[in-house]
Amino acid sequence: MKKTIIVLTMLLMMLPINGSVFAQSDDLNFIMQKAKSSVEKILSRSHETKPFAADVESAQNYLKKAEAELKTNTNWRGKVNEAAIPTVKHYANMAEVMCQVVQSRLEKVNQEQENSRLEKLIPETEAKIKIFEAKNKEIKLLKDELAKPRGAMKSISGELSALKLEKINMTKEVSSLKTENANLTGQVAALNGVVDSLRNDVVDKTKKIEDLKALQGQKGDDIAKTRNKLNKINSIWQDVSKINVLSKLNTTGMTLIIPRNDLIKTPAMKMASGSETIIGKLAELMKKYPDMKAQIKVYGFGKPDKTENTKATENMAGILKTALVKAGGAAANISASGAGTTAPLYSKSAVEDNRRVEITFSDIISQ
Amino acid sequence: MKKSIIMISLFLSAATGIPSAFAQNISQATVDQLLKTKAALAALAQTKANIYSKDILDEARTSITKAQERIDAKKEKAALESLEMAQTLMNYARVKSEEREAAEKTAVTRAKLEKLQKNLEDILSGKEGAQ
Repeated sequence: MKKTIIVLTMLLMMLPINGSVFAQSDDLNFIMQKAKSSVEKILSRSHETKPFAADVESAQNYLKKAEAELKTNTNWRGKVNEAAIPTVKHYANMAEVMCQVVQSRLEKVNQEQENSRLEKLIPETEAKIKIFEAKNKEIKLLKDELAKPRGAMKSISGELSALKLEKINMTKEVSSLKTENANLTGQVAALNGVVDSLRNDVVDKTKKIEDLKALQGQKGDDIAKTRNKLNKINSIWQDVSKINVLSKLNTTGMTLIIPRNDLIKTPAMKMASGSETIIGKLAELMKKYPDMKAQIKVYGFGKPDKTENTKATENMAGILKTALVKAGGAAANISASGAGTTAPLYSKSAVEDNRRVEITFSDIISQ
Repeated sequence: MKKSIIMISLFLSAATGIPSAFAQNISQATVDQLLKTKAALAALAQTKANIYSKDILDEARTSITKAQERIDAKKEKAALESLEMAQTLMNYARVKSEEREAAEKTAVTRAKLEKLQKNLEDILSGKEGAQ
């Protein structure tokens, strides 16, 4: 009985202790499992953890120590020596912390890489912003530029309307001025016609004046000539008067009527005595007026025919011409002819008066 | 009966253990290591690690406290383990701090980039004032 009581008491005392040991074992398993998992995790990222090889190795070593400690302190029934548990936990926790260190270092590297990547993107983005800002500015300026003409268009439109109105008014004015101009052109044309007419008149008048002046000059000349002729005639007349023969003026000149007997004796047909004086005076007269022409015409009358007919009077005219040339008269200016009995001046009874010599001086006035 | 009492006593002693029976003297090196670890923790607490990895530093601080307690309890091996853990945690705190700082830097860069990208998207989509 006593033995039974002792065994039961021992069992009762053992129970809580075993429960605590099992609980600690579970906790240890969990910690170990966690440490193993963490170490495996960082080992799987060996390519990344190369720079932190020492930390990785440290974690591994702590895990190994924990495993070794655990193994050493676990009996054949799988029971872990209670005294060793804190050390095992310590190593497992150390392995876990070292894994966290490694992970933290990895994370730091990742963050730095990410930061570096992001920092590279910043200037790129800023450059893009700058470009687009510049574009936006440009667009704004263009918009402003576009807006400006709209405002300007309004004022231009107003100006255009005013200009159109002004144009209409000016068109009317131009039309009015055109009409006025046409009227004025007509008036000017009419005035030009008048002016032309007046100009023609002036030309005509001028011409007439010039003609009149010419005529006046000519008349003056004519008057002078006439005066000279008259003076000449007067001079000749005075010279002729000195010859003491009958004389008369006619339209062509001056005719001297000289009794035939004073110049020629018939029937002898010779120069009469005393005729030299008359012939001399006539010759002097012809020399004084060398342009003057002298026509000697001898007239007969009655009988006998041999001294009175035309032939006889022509002979007598020739004799007189010869005498006059001999006395100094120019032969070229002297013509001689016989008239016979065809032109008596007086009645039949005045025989000797009808027998005469007429000397006509011509070209006196024409000179 | 006496035998039973003695056996029970022996069993209980074996089951619960008598730490004092295994207590040993703590070496000066361990004490020095504790002091150095404390100083290192204090120095680390003045760095960015106190901002970025305060949780880990707290864990390290707890480990140091545990080490101190173990030293006080004359458990040198356990104290050394706690100190080792504290130092590893401090290293982890430094590394984590660098990682978080890098992450924060990346986040700032990403935020800046995202802002620029949004700005760019706005410009491209023709939003007014997107400059």
